[in-house]
Amino acid sequence: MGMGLRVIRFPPDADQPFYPGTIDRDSASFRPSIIAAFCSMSDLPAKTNHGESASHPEEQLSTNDLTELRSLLIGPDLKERFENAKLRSEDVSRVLPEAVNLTLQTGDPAFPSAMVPTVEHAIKSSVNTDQNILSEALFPIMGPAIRKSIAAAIQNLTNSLNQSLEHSLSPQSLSWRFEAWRTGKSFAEVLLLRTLVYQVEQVFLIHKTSGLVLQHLAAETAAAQDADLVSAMFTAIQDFVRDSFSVSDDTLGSLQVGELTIWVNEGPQALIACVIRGNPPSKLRLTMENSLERIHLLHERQMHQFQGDSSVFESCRPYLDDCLQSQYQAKQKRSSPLKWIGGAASILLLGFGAWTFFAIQEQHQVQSFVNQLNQEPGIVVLQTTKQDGQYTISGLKDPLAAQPTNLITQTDLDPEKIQFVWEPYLSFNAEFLESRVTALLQPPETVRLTIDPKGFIQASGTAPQAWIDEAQTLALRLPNISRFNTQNVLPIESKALATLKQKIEAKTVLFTQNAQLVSQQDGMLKSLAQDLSALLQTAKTLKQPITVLVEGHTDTIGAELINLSVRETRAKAVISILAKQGINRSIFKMVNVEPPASSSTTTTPNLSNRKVTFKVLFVHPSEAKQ
Amino acid sequence: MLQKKICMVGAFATGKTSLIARYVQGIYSDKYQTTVGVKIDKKMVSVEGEDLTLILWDIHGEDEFQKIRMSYLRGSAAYILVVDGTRRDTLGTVFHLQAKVEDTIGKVPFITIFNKYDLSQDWEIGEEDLEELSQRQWLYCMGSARTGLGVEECFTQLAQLMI
Repeated sequence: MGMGLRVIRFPPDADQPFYPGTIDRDSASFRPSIIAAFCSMSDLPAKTNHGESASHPEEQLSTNDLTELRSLLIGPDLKERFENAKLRSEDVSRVLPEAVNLTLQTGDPAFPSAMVPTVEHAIKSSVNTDQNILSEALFPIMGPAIRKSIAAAIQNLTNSLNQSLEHSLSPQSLSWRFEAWRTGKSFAEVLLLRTLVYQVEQVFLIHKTSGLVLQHLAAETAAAQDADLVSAMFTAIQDFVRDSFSVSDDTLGSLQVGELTIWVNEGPQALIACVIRGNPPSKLRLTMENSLERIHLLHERQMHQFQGDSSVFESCRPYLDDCLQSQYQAKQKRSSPLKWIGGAASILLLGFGAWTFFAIQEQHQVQSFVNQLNQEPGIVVLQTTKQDGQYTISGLKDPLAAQPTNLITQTDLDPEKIQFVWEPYLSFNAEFLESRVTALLQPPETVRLTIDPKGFIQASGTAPQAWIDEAQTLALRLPNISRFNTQNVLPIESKALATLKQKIEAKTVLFTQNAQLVSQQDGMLKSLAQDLSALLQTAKTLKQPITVLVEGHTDTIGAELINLSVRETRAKAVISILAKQGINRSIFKMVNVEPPASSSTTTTPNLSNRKVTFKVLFVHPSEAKQ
Repeated sequence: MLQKKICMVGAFATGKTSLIARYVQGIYSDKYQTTVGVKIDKKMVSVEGEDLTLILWDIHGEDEFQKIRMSYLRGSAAYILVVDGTRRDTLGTVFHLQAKVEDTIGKVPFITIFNKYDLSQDWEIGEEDLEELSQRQWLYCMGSARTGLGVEECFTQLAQLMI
């Protein structure tokens, strides 16, 4: 059988009493609940009742009865109920609410504490899954609760404001102000003290035998002395009183010192002493008693074994905190006209104070803005005036300096309230100097300018000679510029001059005999003339004197005297051709080049030596040497 | 933070108050003021890495008119017996007081200090007295509230016995 129920003996053995819930020896899996279920069945024959059967052991059940019982007990329905988890859950769900209700009615504390972790877990997992669900559910409660709390806070604030205003100028408050001045306390302290019905300033939890402090709490407004000393001294006083008046079991219940009352409640191991200012109500005693009892309940053992370590009694603080009570005098309804006048006066004073405060603050802001302006290069503030709430800032300003109207937007000041009056001036600030120089000279990209504070401009790079010349005259016209050094600037033209010189010197004009030019040299002569023209032009820009040597050559054939004249004739011919092309004759200088001596010995004439060549010299023609 | 109550016990005018003033505030005054009842002071010390707050109960001295109230000694973690080294009879008072204290609060650590050690010409404590203390297995030290000699050491030694 599925349930492992093999034998049921009814009634059980005579010497073995049968109780509901007893498991048969042979059927370990027989559950007590089945018997219970079975017993509760109302339609079961009376004789099957175990109580009865136990009283009539001689009665035997017939086989049919047994079968019937068996089918009743573990019929298909019941069997299914036990094996089918879904059905079982349904059964439980039907009785669960009622069962919970019953538990709550009996007031069994075990149930709520058993539920706590489940509920906490459920809330946690709900929040983790979707915060909205819980927040929506709580919303109707949270809203009013928060409103209520805010309303209470505002009410408190209003009350305290009312109280302050009320006491600000009344004759009584003047006397309190005098007292505050006399005692060195703040007015608020005196006010609190005077309107106080009572306040528990300090609470001591004192170990009875040693007089050591277990815990000590003081109200925020109270001036607490060294709790260790007070506690010990207090215990000494207790001892003294007890000894002196031979009251061995009783303790000093209260002490009165000036405005202070000390109330003491004593327990078996510890006592609570409250230092109270004013007249405490008797219900405070109850609170003290209650706290003391709870503390003893929690810590009786630790207090008994106390060896000086008070850290274990930290948990008592909430109970002691209950004793830190206070109550203030109820506000009197009657209000005198004097108070109103006083109130109005104080509001006026407050208004005046606020106005002064803002005015001072504004003035401070303007001053710091002026300081900021003076830090700016090219701005010098000379004067700040104020008229009809308007500020006028005047001074000197370089046209290149930052706009003060832009600077004002970076502050909290109202731009409408500030006017500027600027006198233009030139600042010798290095940055401005540089931008002025750059703007005037407009150097080409290939030139780099550096300006030192003494006004010495150093230029380097390459530039057209024209720019160099212009810059040199312009730069020195700028204020505070003392020197302009262009030695490190290479004129672009000098490079061109060198190229032209090379080109010209590479050219050769060839002749046949005498001064007869070899034909087809016109193109070459034309380009030569162009090169010479360019050379002269460039030299002119660079103010470079130029001399072109025209060298006449001959071969060695013939008489030297004749050759000499032929060389001259050739040079003259070339000069005249070039002059015809528009080249200024004055730059030319004829040169007679004697043929090399070695060639004079050879018999074959060197025809290629019948020529005119050129040399460009960068000197004035009059200074040119041959 | 551990708190410990320590009592100063001895005959009158042995220098109990002065010893505490020297130990706690580091000062000494020649002016004699008799203690009526109890004075309480406190001193924070660190012994072997443990912070201790010593609550020092300065109990009035015992003489023929005024007996020490034993109730002040309840809850003490230790006590100091003070002997005036220039008045040998105060040692006798201490022997008698120690028995009473132990009867009242049981066995707790204590130390005997022979005060006024700076007044060597008036010194009345002899070798045989110290011998007796040794036989009783009492801890003792010499000290002077006026010069500060031995005071700190005496308190420190006692504090070490308590932890």
